[in-house]
Amino acid sequence: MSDESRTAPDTAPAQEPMSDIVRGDLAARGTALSIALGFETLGDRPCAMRAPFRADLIGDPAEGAIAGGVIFALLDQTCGMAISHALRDRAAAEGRELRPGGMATLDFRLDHIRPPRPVASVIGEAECLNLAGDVAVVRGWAYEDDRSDPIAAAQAAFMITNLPPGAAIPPEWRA
Amino acid sequence: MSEAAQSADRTMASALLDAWPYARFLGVRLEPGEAGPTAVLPFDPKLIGNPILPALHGGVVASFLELAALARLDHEGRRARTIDITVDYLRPARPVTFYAEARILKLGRRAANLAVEAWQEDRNSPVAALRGHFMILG
Repeated sequence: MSDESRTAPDTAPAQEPMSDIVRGDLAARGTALSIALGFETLGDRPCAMRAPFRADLIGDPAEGAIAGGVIFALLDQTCGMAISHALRDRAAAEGRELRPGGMATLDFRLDHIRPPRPVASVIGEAECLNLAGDVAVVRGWAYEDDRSDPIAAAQAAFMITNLPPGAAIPPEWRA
Repeated sequence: MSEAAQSADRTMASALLDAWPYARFLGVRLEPGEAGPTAVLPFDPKLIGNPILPALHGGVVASFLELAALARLDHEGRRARTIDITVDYLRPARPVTFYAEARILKLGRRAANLAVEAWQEDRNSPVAALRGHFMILG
């Protein structure tokens, strides 16, 4: 996917969503897609987001629920958030600055446990199971309001793509 | 004739892609391909996940491949619901038109297994691949 955690080289002009990326503040920013889909961050939970129900995001009209692809995007996004937090924690534990870079999804599996309820908003949540070297393993799950009654479960591996030490920050990252 | 008009001329009817609101939101349609219908997703800025590269959102890639699989089953007259999908991301999905071809590996009475391969400029450089199981509803 598309989530970056990177240090801010300098102060960027306030321009969404780029400025959030430059700040490395993944929890507070959105990709263009997550904005288009109306994903909302949940203030008290750093690695969770809500996909509010919207009629134009319905999958099979016979079922009237949010499409599976929207849930996939939601969990992809929250898995990226979980990795960003794990990277930040690792940098803090090692007493160093967060290295600039991004991450790329290697593979992402989504199991649909049951159909989502019609006209319901969906929450996606993720945790980073392991961060070893440049590979992060994450899992995520989606539910309407009860975490113990999940709609779908995700398991994914991401490659961390740090810039080499001392590399110049590409000017376009400053957008 | 403009490229867009030529492209529109090639569009095949797909009851599923016309009926699913999320498919219309993304802009997925079908065109005739070498081995059955090819799903086509024209680029739109809202599909961006990584504005730095820029690259399409991983969730867009997955949604497109899943819809290509469901539309392929629909083309065979089967209505289906996704059981599970696994998406391999092979190359960054660039902000250009996306194509996907779904193959039915097994079509059973209760479930189907499909493989979808997606590419952009070069048919021989796949950008993403999907494997999935789909429950046959009718």
